[in-house]
Amino acid sequence: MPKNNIGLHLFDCNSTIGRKAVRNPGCAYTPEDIISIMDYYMINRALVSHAICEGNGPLPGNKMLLSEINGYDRFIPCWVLLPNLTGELGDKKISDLIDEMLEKGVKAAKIYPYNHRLCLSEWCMRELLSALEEHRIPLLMDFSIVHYSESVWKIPWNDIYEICRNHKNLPVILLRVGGNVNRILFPLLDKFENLHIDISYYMSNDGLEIICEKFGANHLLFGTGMPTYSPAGPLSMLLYSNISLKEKRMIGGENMDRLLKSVII
Amino acid sequence: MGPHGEFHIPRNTPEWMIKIMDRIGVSKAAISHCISLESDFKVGNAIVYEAIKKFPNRFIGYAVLNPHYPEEIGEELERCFKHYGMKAIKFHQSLHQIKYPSDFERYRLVLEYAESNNLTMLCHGFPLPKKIEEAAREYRNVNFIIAHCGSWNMREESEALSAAKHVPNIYVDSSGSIEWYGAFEKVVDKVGSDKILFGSDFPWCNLAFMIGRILFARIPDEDKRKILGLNAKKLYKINS
Repeated sequence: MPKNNIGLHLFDCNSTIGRKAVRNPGCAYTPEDIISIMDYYMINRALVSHAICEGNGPLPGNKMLLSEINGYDRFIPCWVLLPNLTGELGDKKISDLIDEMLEKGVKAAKIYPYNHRLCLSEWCMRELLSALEEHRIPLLMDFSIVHYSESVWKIPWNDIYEICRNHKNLPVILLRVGGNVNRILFPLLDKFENLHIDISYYMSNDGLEIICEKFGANHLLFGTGMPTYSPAGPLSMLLYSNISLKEKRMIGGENMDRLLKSVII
Repeated sequence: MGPHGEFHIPRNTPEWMIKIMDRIGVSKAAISHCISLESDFKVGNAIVYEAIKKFPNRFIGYAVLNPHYPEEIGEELERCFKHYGMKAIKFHQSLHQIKYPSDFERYRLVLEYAESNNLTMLCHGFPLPKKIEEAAREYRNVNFIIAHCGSWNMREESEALSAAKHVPNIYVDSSGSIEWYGAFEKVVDKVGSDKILFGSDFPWCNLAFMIGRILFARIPDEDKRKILGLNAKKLYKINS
């Protein structure tokens, strides 16, 4: 396991394996490629989903994920889900699917509301959200944000408010939130203990410091977006941040570990 | 420096910026003010003057000139360089909405002044990098820095990077909003480390985040030294 000199045990909550139609600029996509990036940046573990899930829906990708990361104990699997009245996740009821997921050791779920054209309102998502909440399974939301300015309009902020309010035991993790939405994000962080962001794209000046001070480091998770995006920025930001070592460790990995350990099987 | 209408920029005052620069190990920053870019260029320049007066060894002032007010440019250039002690010029084609080649012509007076005084000009390069290349070929005494070239997606043909490679008085800066994995190394490979300056967009962006792109890059340390400061020392004529 790679080590850094301040004892940070880095756990990346936002990464994928597998190819996309458009090749990543860095040409990395296999488990070996990702491990090599993790070694370079001293990242110990990564929560991974399969890229095929984003492009083609969850079913083939979730299965491929488990077989492709088999034998790599530094990868923690994350399945991509959908509300299932369409049957795209198979014939099982959502609750049975969640049971299957947990039996296979998958303790985190991801949705792609933007690319999968989901409506996050309660009437569409209640069954899935309630099933995840019952088990305290962390739900990562990837809004397919490329440029930070998209954070304003790709994230349906009113829906995030309703989800956090209606599902207080559901850990919600917004991925690749830009640093340009503090005016919306701060009131939400102020209201909801179950709301988290990954820091992969949170480039707000002294943003980590301010969130730690106002709302607590428990809201922040280390994430990179690799292999499409580089760990260099978020890692440098975490290392240089003017917060305590305890808070750095929480953000670096302990918060994600805590969320996974809180999953009720 | 300064606040921005579209989103919250925390800790954007000169005092906060110095504290953050100290923490990260950045000794000098060339600055402009958001007010110059989004509202009144003269008000912003005056605030930058106060900042460089207060922290003369840490801040280098950019004079921002807005071509939509051509009748005020001559006087403002004199004020910025004779009274304020600014060292370089900044154009922001995007926020000043310089959309058409004819708009770019309104920079002519500034370019003439820069040529006569061997000045450096930072240009937000998009749109119209071709126009910057044409200007650089015409105004040989001016060093042009095209901003935000550090996050090239490696697919789109980059006029800015080719210009920096081939035109002696064009440079690029390393800032850029998207952190594609592997991109910065390709920028260095394409342009050469002699033609790249560290740029952060701080405090608009997070300084530590942006410096990570260079510190963690898989390039030789000598290249990092040039990008992080040696190239800027030459361009801004800094002795210390």
